[in-house]
Amino acid sequence: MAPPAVQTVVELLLGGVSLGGLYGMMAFAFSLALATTRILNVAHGGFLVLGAALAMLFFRFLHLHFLLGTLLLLAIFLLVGLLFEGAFVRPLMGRPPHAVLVGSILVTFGFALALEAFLGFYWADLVDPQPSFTIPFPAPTLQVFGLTLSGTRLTILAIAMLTAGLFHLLLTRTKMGKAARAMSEDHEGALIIGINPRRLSIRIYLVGVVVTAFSGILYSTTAPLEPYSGLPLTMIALTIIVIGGVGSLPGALLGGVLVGTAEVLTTFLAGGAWAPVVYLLVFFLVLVVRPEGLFGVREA
Amino acid sequence: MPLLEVTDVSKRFGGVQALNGVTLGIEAGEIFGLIGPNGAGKTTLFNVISGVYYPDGGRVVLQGTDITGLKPHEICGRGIARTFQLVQPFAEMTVLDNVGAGRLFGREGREGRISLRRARDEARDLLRFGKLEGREVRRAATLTLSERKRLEMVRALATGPTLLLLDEVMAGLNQAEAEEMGEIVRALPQAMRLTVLFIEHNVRLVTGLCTRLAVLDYGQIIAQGEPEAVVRDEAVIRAYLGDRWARRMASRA
Amino acid sequence: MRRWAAGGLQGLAVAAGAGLLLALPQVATRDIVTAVFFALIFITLAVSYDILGGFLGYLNLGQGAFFGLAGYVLFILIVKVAFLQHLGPAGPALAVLAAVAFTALFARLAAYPLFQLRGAYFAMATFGLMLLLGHLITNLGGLTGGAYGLYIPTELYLPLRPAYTLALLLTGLSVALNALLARSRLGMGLQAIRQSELAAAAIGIDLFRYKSRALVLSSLPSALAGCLFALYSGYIDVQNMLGAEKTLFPVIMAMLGGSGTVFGPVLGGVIVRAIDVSLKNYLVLPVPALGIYGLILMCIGLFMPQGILPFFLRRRL
Ligand SMILES: Nc1ncnc2c1ncn2[C@@H]1O[C@H](COP(=O)(O)OP(=O)(O)OP(=O)(O)O)[C@@H](O)[C@H]1O
Ligand SMILES: [Mg+2]
Repeated sequence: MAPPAVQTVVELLLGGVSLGGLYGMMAFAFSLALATTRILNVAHGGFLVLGAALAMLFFRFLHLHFLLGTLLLLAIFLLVGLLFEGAFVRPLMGRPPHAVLVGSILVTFGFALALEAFLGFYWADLVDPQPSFTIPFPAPTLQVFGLTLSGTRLTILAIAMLTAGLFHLLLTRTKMGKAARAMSEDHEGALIIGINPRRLSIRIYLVGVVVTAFSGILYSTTAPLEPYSGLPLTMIALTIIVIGGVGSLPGALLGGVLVGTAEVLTTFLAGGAWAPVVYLLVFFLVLVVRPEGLFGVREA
Repeated sequence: MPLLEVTDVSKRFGGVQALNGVTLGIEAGEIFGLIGPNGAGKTTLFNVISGVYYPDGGRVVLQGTDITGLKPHEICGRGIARTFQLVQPFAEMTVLDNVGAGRLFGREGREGRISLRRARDEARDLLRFGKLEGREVRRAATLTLSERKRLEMVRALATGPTLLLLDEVMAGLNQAEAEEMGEIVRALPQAMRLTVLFIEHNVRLVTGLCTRLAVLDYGQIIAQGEPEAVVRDEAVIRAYLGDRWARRMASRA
Repeated sequence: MRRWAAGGLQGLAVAAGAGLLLALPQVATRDIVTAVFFALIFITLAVSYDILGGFLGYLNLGQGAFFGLAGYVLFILIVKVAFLQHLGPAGPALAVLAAVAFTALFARLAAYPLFQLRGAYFAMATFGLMLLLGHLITNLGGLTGGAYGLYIPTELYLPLRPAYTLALLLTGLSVALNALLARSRLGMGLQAIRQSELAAAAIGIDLFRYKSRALVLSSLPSALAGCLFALYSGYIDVQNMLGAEKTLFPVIMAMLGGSGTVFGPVLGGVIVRAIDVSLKNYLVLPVPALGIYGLILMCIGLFMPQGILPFFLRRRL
């Protein structure tokens, strides 16, 4: 048996890094959409909540088979990505910059609020008066060098690393990834050399919504999500981007781990109520001290 | 002492060395031309002088005072005004208010020394100089490109500069418009008692207009001096037309 | 000619409206006066929001932060500083002054991180500021009452009549502030920045200074509105001072009526309040009000980003 102090520290670190990996995943999906389409999706965090809520509905209330449920969820998330992009992102593309800004904020902020309100209202009405989305995932614990490690967190960490690897391959090996990188580095240049912004944007949203919604499911295996968690989660994604730079995969992962670890440590030391205070303070502090971002160059 | 001294200025963007040790001296009262191929760093030099970018190295000195790293509005207050290659009019304001804003916020109107009414009055005179009379109440967005370029120059003039930086004010204009613009630029040092540093692509227009000329290529000054001498310089021809042309020209000479 | 006529008509409409509103408590029921009082509070928020949103073109999704912060500072002062309670009406008045000053200082400091950002990043950061304030207030229970909120002694409550009159005055001043701004040097600078930051800086406008001034100016009427609202209610908590609608309503109202016009936010405010009152009192729909507002916001963004008033007037400011 390891001494209790060591056990605690390792548990905290694993908790922080796995949460950070999860944050990194969803923040990169946000970041990639922002870098390529230049539209900040305020409703991004809502996709995590939606993912968790649907997964809970399917697995805990409808008792769907794991595989069937997962495939169904995948199909739904793809559809959501398709509809969201087509209805809200596409109409904004090609408007003058200020109109894109106003339009995108109004539309995605409005969507986020509507989603939160309707989900909370009908869930409370039909399912549970205290809406809260959790999916217990009792993975066996692992014993290493006398340390007890949470299987759930290890699984999350593994999935996050796998996703990061896939993102890396997507960016470096596929035509879509190369187009996305060109688009985020030099928007006008990419348009000139003939990259189709609409085709790219739809693909980015398909991938992004799926990754984000599944991140939400993973999140809800360790802590509950609530209908109104969406906007704060978007804020977390933004904090990570401010730290790591828009469109940067390593930046998103590093920023995610930083924010995740800070959250876990704060919760341990001061209680969960202080966790949001810490990441928000980090956000404003970085802006004052290093407006160009900690690791990368932030485009504003 | 030159009016403006740029000493050993460098600026890098990621992998691109946009400026690489640029040194220039502009004398009071002259019309100084700056030419160079696309991407040579001309606009970047303007951005460094006018405070949009902070240089990685080097200094910018105006009338003996170091102005490196001052903010754009401070540089304007010191007496350097500029136009933008991609015109930036205040699109929803009237033409009169565009120029009035230049009066109001520029060097002479700082700290509210000029009232809004006076700013508009003085703007009318300047608009006449820029051949924009009759356009006063139009929204700037409704002007033609040639008019917008002149509006932008007049707005810069309205701030009361001693040095005016013009970034390709003739690009995109037809022959007649470009010549009209050339006349206005030529009249500037006398009419407004100021010095002009201007970027242009059209070599023929430049040589007819400027007193001295410098050539920027890959972030370095490769030639400067009398316009006629500079455009015959071998390195300049090579930069513009490539090596083969330079050799052919040299063999012909 | 037409301009004069339009101006005269506008002046006449404003005078008539003001007279009607002043006389309202004499003729209307308590419910109606209360409803109009709340409408005036929100319209003030919307009008002050538009200093940033309309003049400068920076979307502030955290306008409610000024409203809530001022209300909290006011109540903390009244509750914790004992001698203020013995000064009669001068006590709360002093506390209001202090609360507004504190809020303005907060706005000035917030300018440092916020104006590192532009566009959508700025909008999201203002939302974050409001979140941060909400969490801090919830967590610092010893000072703020935390989840339980704060009460003031009943004798300090502001009765409806004076509250209504003060709200009317505040809304009038707030509108007048914007009208003055539209004709002022500062206002011209803000509009220049909105149309091209690059050119604005090049003609000598100190971007940060002008933006910070706009932020501080826009915080003042909102802070006063927060104080009025809190004094009238007698009780505050995070939900009623910093809830989502405090941030949502100013944006919807300004955008719907016409951002960047003096009377756009007022018109939008009237429309939105009318919708709100009918939603809550008459049409008992099985849908959440917040969801409806989210949908309205989306529709404005997609179909009429310029708002109603400019749509008919086609004349800015
Ligand atoms: N903000 C920037 N970020 C990254 N690279 C930049 C930036 N501004 C300029 N560059 C690069 O620096 C180099 C010089 O650009 P600059 O605009 O100064 O050229 P120029 O001489 O004005 O060309 P042109 O004649 O086309 O206007 C180019 O390679 C350009 O891509
Ligand atoms: Mg250029």
